[in-house]
Amino acid sequence: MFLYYLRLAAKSALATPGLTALTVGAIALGVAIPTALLSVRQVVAQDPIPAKSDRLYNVRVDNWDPNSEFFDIRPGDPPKHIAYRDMHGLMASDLPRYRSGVASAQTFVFPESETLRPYPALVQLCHADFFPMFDVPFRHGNGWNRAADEAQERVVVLSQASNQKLFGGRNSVGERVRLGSESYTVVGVLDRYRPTPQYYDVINNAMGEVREFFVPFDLIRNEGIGLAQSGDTDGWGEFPQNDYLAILDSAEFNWIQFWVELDPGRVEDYRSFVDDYTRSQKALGRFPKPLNNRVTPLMEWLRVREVVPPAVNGLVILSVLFLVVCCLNLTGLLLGKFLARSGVLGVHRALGAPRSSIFLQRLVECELVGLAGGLVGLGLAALSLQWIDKLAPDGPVPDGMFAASGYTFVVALALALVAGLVSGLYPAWRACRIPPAMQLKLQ
Amino acid sequence: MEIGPIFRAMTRNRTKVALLVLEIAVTTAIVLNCLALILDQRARIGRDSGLDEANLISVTIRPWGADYADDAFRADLVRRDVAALEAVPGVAAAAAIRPTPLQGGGSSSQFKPLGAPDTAKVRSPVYTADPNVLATLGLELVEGRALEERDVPVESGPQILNCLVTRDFADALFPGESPIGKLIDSGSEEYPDVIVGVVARMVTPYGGGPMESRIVIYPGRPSAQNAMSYLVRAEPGERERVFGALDPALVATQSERQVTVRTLEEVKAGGYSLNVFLSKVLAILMVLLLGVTALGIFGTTSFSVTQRTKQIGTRRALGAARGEILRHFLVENSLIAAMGMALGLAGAFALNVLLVTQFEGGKLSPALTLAGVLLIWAIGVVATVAPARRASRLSPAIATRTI
Repeated sequence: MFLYYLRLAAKSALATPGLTALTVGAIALGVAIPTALLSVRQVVAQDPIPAKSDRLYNVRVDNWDPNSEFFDIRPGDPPKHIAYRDMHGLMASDLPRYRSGVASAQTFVFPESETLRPYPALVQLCHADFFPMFDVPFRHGNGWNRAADEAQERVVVLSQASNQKLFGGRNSVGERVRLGSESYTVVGVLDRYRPTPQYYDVINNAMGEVREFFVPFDLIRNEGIGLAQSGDTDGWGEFPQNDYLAILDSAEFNWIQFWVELDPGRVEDYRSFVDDYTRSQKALGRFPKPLNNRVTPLMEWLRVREVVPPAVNGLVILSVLFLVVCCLNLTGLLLGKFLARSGVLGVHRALGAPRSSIFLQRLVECELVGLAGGLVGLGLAALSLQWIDKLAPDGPVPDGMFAASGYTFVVALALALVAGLVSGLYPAWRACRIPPAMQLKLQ
Repeated sequence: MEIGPIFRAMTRNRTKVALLVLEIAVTTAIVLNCLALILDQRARIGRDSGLDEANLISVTIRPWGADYADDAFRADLVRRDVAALEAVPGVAAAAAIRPTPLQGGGSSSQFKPLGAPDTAKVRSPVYTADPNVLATLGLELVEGRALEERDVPVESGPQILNCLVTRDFADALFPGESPIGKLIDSGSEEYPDVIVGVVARMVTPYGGGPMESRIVIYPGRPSAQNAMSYLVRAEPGERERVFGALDPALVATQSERQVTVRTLEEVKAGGYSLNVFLSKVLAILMVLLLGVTALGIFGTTSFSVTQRTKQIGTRRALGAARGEILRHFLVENSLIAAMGMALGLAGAFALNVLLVTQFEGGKLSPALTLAGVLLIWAIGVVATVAPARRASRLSPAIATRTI
């Protein structure tokens, strides 16, 4: 029965090729734009580490000035990063399975090779736990251990790209790399790794490539070795002038995102630990504001930092309304087409076809047109995504970020089928209400 | 006018009219909002920076030499760099400045009049620049004096500094009085800063935000072991020639560094790239939508002309002139458009409330609403004209033929 309807639908669609092309085009265009924008949104809004996103928490403590709000956070929130001394205070807890500070530093790379000139690079400052906590994949070797953090060992993990650049992609574990004035031993080389969004550093590098080098965080304590703090910072109060370590150790100078992995049963205990820690700091005369700390689950943290720019949601809303206009257009076209064929439908009815089968036949025809429109729309959406990828600001969104995916395919087809159905319902209903007698008389 | 009969004719075809009214309503809601959002994004890109953008070139430097760890070496090098830049033919002025204006990132401090309570604090972005800053950036001094060589601190460390502020900064801290000579506290009561001059306008390096043009400029020759930055202003028409000569001039002065030269317009394009992107996507959405709606109106009108061929012929046979037939369709469509737009206006304002928070701006204004409504109406007329003309050309004889 269904196949028969399908054959009827195809026949009816091909009977008016111009009109059918127009209806397919209307669905295609209407579907392409929301599909492209929803795909963009999906890339930015997806869960970057589904296996454990519910166990990863960002930690913030409110050391801010009671007399001023900062503009870059939601009203009432603590500052978006924490200070170096507070990172050390929070590292003391054994409650988390893993914990790591995350920040960036600027350095210069001095390659051994004769053909490469020294070049500037960004380094990820992190702790040993960074690699197991975030399931970072290694191609060769491994991360370092907590003892290396303590001893400020000169060890480095290379990204896949920098291993390619410096060592031609071979296993470079055990080789040495000079960053700034120091020589580092390579302990690990990453496999392909591109978390999207780059959740552990959404403040400085939400959509970018991973940093080229990873080194133990506390190396930043060594002034003059060629590691310079880089990226967003917020500070207030008195700054010790020209005293490098004092700025790290005593200033209210926030620049570090702090992450912990907590087992479900330990979250409340950990919150109490963070509050206790800040109370101990209050005793030292810091933390002038009332307790205002946050242990935020990863996905919630991405929302807090608006990793999906609200403007993208605005574009999605506008594009869905665009699809509504296309559907209204389509309804008009289909209505015209079905009523123009009143004669044929009247004969069908007179020969005994029930209303329901007329109705279903018309709907199948609409869905057939919808499916065709969806496929063309999918192609258009893929082109739009390519174009958006090129046009999107390269700083936050490097090329290659957006492309058609399985998600694009599903969204395009779903939108097209819904559009075909919604636009077709009323015309199909009108078609099945055509009285047979009247049509026969007119013939 | 024959609005009465036209309207009654429309009620004979309620579904078609309703569909078109709805389509025009949604179109109106979207188009008005797109227009408002596009204008808002363009306004942010085009806002006055107070800078001579067309002639400015940004130079940023990443040094790697070991000598750069030495403060005295860097202080001397900055002087030699600025001299080398100014010696390039076609350069009008050059200055050491940090951060680079319009780059989309920088630092800020909190300020209050010295002795005022902490609640009076105001946050403001901060630049450090050498005395060439006014001449190089093309800033307009409106009160007091420019920075001079004697203002530049000889030694680092806490000290009382003379500084320039913008008009907005002066008005925020000292409303209604002259700020010249006033002391401001940026975190240390012992070492306040002294305002010596006021410039008309200068913008935050972040691009936008609540601190738009509330700026403090400190005297200095900014440099760090890993970063230095300069701005160069070319003589009018000389920018292209100057552009290529800057890297060689600096590398000749000191070679252990990587030099990046960009026009300020490029820097700005980077800082505003999201605004450019959004305005382009919105514009495309709007144009496509107007196209789809125009096609819809065209299609519906064509269809109804075909359907009413006999009636049109009859009217013509009964003495209606061509112009009257043309007018019938134009008036009918204008009526439908008017109903659609009335409905759409309500939708537009409701949608606007939602979008204004998401795009952080782009409120509908009466002038913009009027412009948008006229645009949609004009497009409706254009889409109706062709089928309506076809209708008006139908021969009266057709009325007798088709039965």
